[in-house]
Amino acid sequence: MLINSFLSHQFKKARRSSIWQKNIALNVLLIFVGLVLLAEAIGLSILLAFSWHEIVSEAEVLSSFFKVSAYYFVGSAAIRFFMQQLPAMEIIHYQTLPIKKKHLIHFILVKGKFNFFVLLSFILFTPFAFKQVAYYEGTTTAWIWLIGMILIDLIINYFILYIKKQMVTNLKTVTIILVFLGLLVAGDILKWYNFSELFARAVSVMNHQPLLWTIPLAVFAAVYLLNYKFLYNRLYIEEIGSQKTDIANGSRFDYLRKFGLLGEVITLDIKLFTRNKRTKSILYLTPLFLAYGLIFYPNDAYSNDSGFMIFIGIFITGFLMLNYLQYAFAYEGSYFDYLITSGIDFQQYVRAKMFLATTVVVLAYFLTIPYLYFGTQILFINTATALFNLGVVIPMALYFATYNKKAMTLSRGSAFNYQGVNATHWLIMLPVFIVPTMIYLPFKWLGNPDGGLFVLGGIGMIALPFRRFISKMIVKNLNEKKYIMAAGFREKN
Amino acid sequence: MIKIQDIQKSYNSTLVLDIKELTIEKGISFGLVGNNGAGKTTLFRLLLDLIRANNGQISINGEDVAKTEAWKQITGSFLDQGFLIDFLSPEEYFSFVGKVRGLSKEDIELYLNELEEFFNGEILGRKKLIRNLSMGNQQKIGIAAAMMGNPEIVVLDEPFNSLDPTTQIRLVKLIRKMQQTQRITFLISSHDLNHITEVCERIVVLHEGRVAQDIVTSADTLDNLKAYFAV
Repeated sequence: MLINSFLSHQFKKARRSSIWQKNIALNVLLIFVGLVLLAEAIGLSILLAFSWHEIVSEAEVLSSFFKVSAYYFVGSAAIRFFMQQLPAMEIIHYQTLPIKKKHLIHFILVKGKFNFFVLLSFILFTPFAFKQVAYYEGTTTAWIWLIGMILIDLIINYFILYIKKQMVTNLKTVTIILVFLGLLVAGDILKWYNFSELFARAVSVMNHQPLLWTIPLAVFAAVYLLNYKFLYNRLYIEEIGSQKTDIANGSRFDYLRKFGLLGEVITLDIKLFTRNKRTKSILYLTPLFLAYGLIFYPNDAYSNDSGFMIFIGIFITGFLMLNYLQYAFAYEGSYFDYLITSGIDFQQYVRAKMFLATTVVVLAYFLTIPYLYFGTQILFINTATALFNLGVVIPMALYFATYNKKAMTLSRGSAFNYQGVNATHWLIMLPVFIVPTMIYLPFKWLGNPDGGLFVLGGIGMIALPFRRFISKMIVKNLNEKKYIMAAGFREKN
Repeated sequence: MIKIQDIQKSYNSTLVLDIKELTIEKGISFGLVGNNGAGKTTLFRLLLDLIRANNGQISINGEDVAKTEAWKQITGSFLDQGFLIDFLSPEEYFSFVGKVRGLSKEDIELYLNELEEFFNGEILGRKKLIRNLSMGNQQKIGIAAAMMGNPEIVVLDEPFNSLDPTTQIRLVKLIRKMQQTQRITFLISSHDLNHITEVCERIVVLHEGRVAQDIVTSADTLDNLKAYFAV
């Protein structure tokens, strides 16, 4: 009864949220992407289940899969740490009603079980259980193993939730967790110890002695209880949720202020980025995207496809800049009314944004120089794409930012947060990535790839002096669009 | 001097504001009262060029607010939370607003010292960001920022809302003092008839977007207004 009305409230909340209703096209796209991913996961799991015995040697079909699943769990723990959140049902509304506290907590916790990651594990392990485990050890063991794997997944699920509630997610804890998980896997690969082997052996022992599965079951119960206790003692509005009181200590960038209004606006933008949840999570993701090249550069199949490398180059040197400029005005939506009545000189204001974006691209470029290790070609490509970003992409992104009139709440994280995103953003992404590749490819096909790089970088260089002109256009656009933008930003509720 | 001429604003073909002519002389305190939906905030937003009028124009010192920008340098305003940069501390916010208004660090400090009583020790030096302060304290910050840098005109939308009684009384005093010593033109809207008659020399009653009454405040004004609204 109670559960039913909770569920129906949650459903209504999701169904009636303005983001959902306003952005039907985007939601359809997201659902489509979600379905494709789901189909891919199902396909992959079936493929693995049916061909695993051909991939690995006959003697260790099961144990090798168990080993791989150890890595899978580590990886999923890492991703969960970034993305997963305790479903924040607004329990505040229910707290004053005569509903038992424990019902509320159990509902929150049980709801936390049904998430994307658990579903993924379920999809990945089920075909293998009934194809391979059942073949070698019988259907009963297959069932037990599958339930066991889900159990382990749930342990990780609740454990991560617990740590995330316990700790303040700041750069330090993120680094510690990532280094720890990284070492866990790296040490295994480098054979310092054999964690995956250990995991695989434990799993197969438990498969033969099903009673031993009570151990993970007990662990699961313990972790669940831990979460329960934690929430039970903290079910107060001021302690739950993200309404932490942050302490203002941000004079680190104050030296920028001596550059007058330009410095003031830049300082303001830096504070905006470092003090809001959504922008902060972009900052945390930036190192990951800078490291994106590590996936592609060492792999000859990719690194010989220099057209693709252009794409990667634009992305690596431009990730943070694009995230900053595309929403440059929307980020400031909550005080846009102030900005347009304050008498701030828009020309200076736009220049400040371009200046900061330029710094960000240059910085990203310098950070990608160590990729020189994978060959000088990559350095050339990244130089050309960085120049293209500076000359062409920066003014373009800022120009299109004036078309963005969707309000954003910066206090929410950014993973899977599509609030304030609209079709323009997808549209601008296309030319940003496709145009440079299109400029480059004809030269490559004519057998002169370096010429293509020169032209690409050259266009960026030639465009640089024109940025002043384009910034005037942006100011003009801003003056025309400010009523629409301000009206959009005001509609946050 | 503020001049409003033939101003009309409609949303989805419903006329929400329709004022033929209204002139606000320099240096007076001008009050705007009216029930919800009467058009008070709409009028202020039009005056500050935050929304576009369908018709007519508003000028400050002879300059159309929608076509020029010089008036922004002499106009301070606080309509709602949309004027606060909530991830800054109050000090940082005042410093930003002050810099935009062209004040030096010393000017800003001097001004904030003057407001010590109004702040009641709840704003400065508390190492908190604006978003973590109560509504009342946020309101104080917005009002203080609007009056910064000797503006000629200050526009406040329901400034008494969410202030505690002591601060309400202090705000009345503060507005009077600033108006007398610096000849600031105050434009204030409020639902609080007591305060508005206390503060304002002239009061305009808006009803469904039109000027219903235009009163020079006198001893009977409060009673008259109460009678008007007691329907």
